[in-house]
Amino acid sequence: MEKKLYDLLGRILDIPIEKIHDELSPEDVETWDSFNGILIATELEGTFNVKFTLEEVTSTKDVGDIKKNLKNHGIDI
Amino acid sequence: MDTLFKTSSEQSQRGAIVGVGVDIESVDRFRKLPYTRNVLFYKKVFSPKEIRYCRSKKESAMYFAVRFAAKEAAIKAVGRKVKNLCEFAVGRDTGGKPTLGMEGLPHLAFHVSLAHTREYAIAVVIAYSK
Repeated sequence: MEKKLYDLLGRILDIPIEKIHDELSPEDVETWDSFNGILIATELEGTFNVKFTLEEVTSTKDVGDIKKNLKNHGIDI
Repeated sequence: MDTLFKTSSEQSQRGAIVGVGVDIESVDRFRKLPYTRNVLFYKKVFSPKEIRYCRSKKESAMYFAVRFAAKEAAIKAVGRKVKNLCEFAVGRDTGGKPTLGMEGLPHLAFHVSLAHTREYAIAVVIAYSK
């Protein structure tokens, strides 16, 4: 599951998977803006069959928060 | 400039400015995100009416990009988190001038100005109390 998430983040944010960790945040990644934030959310929804609110998307502070959101939707990651 | 003066005058009659927002988006990002393969994304950001309007245009990416910029600018102008980007609806008045409305904040009105080239789309939004 974590690999799926990291593959998705790496592809959308155009960064190597090795650089992805729980504390990685939009402040660290130039390509992690609101457009890509929404794109990440929609691709996660398609991949993990969940539905995020925009609040969940915009309040995401780092990769760890994405994992928490997925766990809140019943995805074991 | 005439439009700007008129807008300022209208604003002063209607209420105080509560915020101003601006946003710029790359049109190419939308070109690389075709609607038919990214329906979930578009439905999360745009209303069915906006989707129909933009898709009716030959260069739909420009129309999507400038509306996305308007919504982002509106969020900055309002200064609060929104639950759904579809809360903001970009339309046109009878004269063809762009309009912006927001569900859930009936006490606010907006002035919006949009512009785009083939590469970039930009929007400025002024939110004011009615």
